[in-house]
Amino acid sequence: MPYRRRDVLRSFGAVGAGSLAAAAGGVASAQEQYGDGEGGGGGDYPPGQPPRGDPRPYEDYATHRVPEDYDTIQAAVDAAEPEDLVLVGPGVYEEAVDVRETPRLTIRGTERNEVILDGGFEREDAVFVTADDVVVENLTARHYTRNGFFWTGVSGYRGSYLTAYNNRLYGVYAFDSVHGTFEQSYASGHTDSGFYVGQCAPCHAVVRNVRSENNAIGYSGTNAGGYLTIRDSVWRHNMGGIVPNSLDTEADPPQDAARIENNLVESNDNADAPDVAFGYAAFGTGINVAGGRNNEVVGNTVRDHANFGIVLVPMIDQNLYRPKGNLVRGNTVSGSGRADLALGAPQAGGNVFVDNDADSARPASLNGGSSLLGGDPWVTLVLLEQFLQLDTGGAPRGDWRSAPEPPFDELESMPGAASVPPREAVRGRS
Amino acid sequence: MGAGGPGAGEAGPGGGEGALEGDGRGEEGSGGGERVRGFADRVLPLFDHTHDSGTTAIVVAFAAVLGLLAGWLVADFGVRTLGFLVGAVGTGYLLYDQPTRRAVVAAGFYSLAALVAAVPVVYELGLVVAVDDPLRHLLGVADLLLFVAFWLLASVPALVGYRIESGPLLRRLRR
Repeated sequence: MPYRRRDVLRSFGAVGAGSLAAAAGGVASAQEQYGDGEGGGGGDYPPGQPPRGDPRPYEDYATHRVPEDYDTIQAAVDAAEPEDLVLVGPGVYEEAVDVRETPRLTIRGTERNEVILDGGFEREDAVFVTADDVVVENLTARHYTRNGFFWTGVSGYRGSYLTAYNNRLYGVYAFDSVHGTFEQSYASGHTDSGFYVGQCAPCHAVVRNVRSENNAIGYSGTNAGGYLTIRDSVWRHNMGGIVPNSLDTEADPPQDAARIENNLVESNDNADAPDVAFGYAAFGTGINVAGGRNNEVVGNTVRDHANFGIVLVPMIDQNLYRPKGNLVRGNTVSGSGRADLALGAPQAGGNVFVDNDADSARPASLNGGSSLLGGDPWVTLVLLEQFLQLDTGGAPRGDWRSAPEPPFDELESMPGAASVPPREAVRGRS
Repeated sequence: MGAGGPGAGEAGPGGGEGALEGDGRGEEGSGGGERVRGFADRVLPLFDHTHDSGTTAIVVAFAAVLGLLAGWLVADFGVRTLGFLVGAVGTGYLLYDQPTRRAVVAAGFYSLAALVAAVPVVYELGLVVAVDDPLRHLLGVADLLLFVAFWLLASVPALVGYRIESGPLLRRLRR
């Protein structure tokens, strides 16, 4: 997928020149449209998340212990029935676990930092899930040639208290999947993104209380939106921070309606982070909505980025995706090299910036000034040049194999991991 | 074409100083007002001549556009307003100082070309001051492409200005 994305983005250069010349729409008209300061909600689904209760524990389950009862995690998984618990003790497990046929399974480590799945730089995914409602908890995955924890094509998923580091592509990853939660987890040293929720509309998903650092991108969400919330998390020292984006290489573009709320996003201009696909194009940006629509960026603290704190830019693929109908409200943005708030040209209107605490903006109208243009071509130029630098092989990058290890002493293990019963993935599915 | 002011004639900038030298009062400094006028004429030779309303309008229009462009260019450094003012006043001065309407328009296009050519420089400068190790981000193929693209773009108004200033190129080559 990264290579396809890279190929597609190659067209960015050709179309980008046109983008620079076309500064479309106007923020003034957007403010007229959303006179009450409210944006978003223009798509098929709202970006926000309806309240859900805590997942309920299973009552009738069996516990399969590794290594006491089984030599490998895979053997325990193969022996398990739905709603069972595979409980893994401390150790380094050199295997790749597939969960393809057992729904409602829980795989849990007894100690987060001591139960380690090791890919040895040759196995693909630490845990690969295609069955519904599978929960993975309290584990560490490292050195896989694709992903740490990967759910695809499922309804119902949860990853809690996970650590993924120095895997080649993604850390904690849900693709074409709905009704999920990533929480209390950590990801670092990935060449695409630490956390990824892609190709879902509506997603019915929450990413919360996670920490993502030293990745190409902290959070990436291609064509993902609708009841999708990214909140209460820390995104720092990546090349780019939070990047919902639209691409034709995945189904259902454009990206539409995610809510990004109450996150700490800082210093996402790490030139030493690993990158093979997309990261440097977003270098130096905190929250970067690339061709997305109807998103809500609310109440975040965003600081110390080389380029832009919060930026909305067009995305070029087989189609041109202009940012539209996004709401940026109540954020505290500071320390940006070029501008705290930014809107690239061309944009499709309806993008509203209100009640933000910021020092600078491009165009100036985003922060109370006046402007002739709705979007600023300079903003698009910056990110276009960075993409060209990436595409011509001149972008700085680190090596995912040797990226810094996580701060294990700061990563909390799941309370009662050895004793509490397994719980369902999510609750309140409709 | 400007209507020459007192003592300026067609000499353009500096003509006023010559007039003062002719009567000797500028060098002797016998009159304070004349000395001020001499200084002003050297610093702001605009007072040596004026332009008709059409040419003045062209100057104002160019100054506004170039000021906006200059402000846009330096917005990354938080000096958008200052950039606009310096750009507008500076280019306004430069253009109004030209002796003829043709020279005014040519200088306007030259100024536009200079600002367009400055885009990649300012772009890179914005990165230089914002990252820890600028050389990791600069001097790549993309940077070269950026410079080439904008300098090619800048060559368009530069050639337009040259054409306006010099007349048809082919005719001059045939001479």
